[in-house]
Amino acid sequence: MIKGKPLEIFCGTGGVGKTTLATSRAVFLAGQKQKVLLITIDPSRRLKEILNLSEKNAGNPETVKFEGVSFSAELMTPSEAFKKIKSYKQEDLKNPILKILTKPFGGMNEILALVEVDFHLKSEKFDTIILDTPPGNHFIDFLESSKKIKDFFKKTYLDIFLFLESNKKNKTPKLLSLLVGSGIEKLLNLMDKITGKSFVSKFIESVNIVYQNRQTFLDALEIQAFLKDPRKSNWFLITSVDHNKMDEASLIKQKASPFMHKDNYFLINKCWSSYLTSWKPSSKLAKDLKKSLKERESDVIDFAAKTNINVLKFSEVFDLRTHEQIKKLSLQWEK
Amino acid sequence: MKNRFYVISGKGGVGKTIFSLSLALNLLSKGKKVLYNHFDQEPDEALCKSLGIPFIKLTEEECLKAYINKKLKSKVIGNWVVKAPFFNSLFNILPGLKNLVYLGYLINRLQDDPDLIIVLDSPSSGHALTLLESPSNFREILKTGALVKDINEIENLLEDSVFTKIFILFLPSSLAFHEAVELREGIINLKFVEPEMIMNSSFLKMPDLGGDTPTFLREKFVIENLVLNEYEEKFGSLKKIIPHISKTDKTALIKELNSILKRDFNDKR
Repeated sequence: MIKGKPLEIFCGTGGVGKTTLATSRAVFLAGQKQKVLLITIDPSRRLKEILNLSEKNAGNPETVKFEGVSFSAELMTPSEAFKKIKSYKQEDLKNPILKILTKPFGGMNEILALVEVDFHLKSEKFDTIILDTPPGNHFIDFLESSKKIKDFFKKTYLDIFLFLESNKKNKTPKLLSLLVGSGIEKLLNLMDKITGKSFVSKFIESVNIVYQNRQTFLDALEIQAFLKDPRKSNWFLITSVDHNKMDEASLIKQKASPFMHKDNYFLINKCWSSYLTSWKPSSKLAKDLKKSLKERESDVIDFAAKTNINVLKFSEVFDLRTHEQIKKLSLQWEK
Repeated sequence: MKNRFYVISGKGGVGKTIFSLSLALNLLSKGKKVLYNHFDQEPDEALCKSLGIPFIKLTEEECLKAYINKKLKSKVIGNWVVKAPFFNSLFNILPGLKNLVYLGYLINRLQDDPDLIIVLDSPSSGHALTLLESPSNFREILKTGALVKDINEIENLLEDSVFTKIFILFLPSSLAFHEAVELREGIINLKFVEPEMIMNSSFLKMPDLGGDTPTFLREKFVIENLVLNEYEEKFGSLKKIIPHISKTDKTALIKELNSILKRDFNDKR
């Protein structure tokens, strides 16, 4: 049995069952009397459907009761995460650029997710925070967002934008050279040509709002320490037997490896072997099918075995009711 | 079929890449000029080459460079913008902008070459919406200017059912189907062409195993039938269903699917 840690990551390519398995994990740990927060940062939000969460609570934890246990679940929303930033002011999200960027598909999803998780970790209200991540590439975006944040919040840029905001006309020679050196002034002029004046001023305003809150973004980078510490996190790299996606899975593993540690698990979902062994077909058609189904499963397991990560197998639950699926999957965590 | 821009989406793992490559192969076999694109992901070059499918391999940065150069009629500004550390980091934290430019680039290619067809193996549903919403988001941000003109043009083409064809794939499971329905609604809300739904990897549509059908497959059939019923209640009869193909090798899988497309997917237009 794998014990709960403060932060547990469920990652993998799309459609392998990250959300379903993460939910089953939350149910299992809640059954062990742990205070659990399950949070999905995947904009496709299957968690909402699985747990019947209400849209009005989106962006904040909601208490969920499931077969006699209870835990918190949250659909991360970028705009709500933005509101948790320390010096957030209501008018900030009135800036048209920030308003759009913080829409669910607006583009700041991954970065604000980091802020959101950091917020909950620091609240110390939960024993375990389970993170259901976006598929493949976008999970890598999430991991790498810390570097992007660092790059974006370099002190030089901050000075430039504070200056542009406070005094657009009188440039001191020193700042002018800074502007030219960074290329910002030149680009803003070009942008004037393409996008028109009003955009440029709204743009400067939006960058300023973000810069004034830079500390929150930079603080969120402390999550990295959690991710790298085997006492503080478990990693579940998920793949599914019905997917022909070993290349993608290994890419994720490779990209995530700087963060990974000894408590990593390769979780193989939708295994059919327990069903296949008892199937004794007689026709050629059925025999071929059985052979190819066995083969696709052993391909995945061979791949996982080669990575030297602990392998966990989860049998597929043939039930359309997601509630039943979660219930049965949560029992498989007891192994 | 006169469509020039095929967009294939759906939940992760529903078989978008296999379907996209089979579709590209199918169009090629009809003598069309086709390019496959895996939207800012490395295409499986070995696989494309072995099937003889030409592809566009381009990162978002390269797109951005090409786009800016074209807009400002300069060969250097784009290179400079992409290299300027501040803008580099700005574009990194604004994936929506990069999506927009990528989409604009692909559509530009289609406008430049009237014989070309592009098969876009798009990101999975949530992120497909990020991509498809990017034009309207940036129109709202920018309001006027040269870029807005381009955005309007991109949107016009995505609304044009002669130019664009959007397929949403789903597996016969409840979650994948609901995600497909949400994606379909999202695309319709954006006023783009109505996507066509395809059920992929159906065990129910495989040749009948008769007395050899094991209990677990019967259970799977029940689930598939429920999903199918739900589809039909919402949208009427489902025309395109791809049976599960008992092959694990990708090349063999794509060839088999290509012959299914030839047999069952001929649009009478």
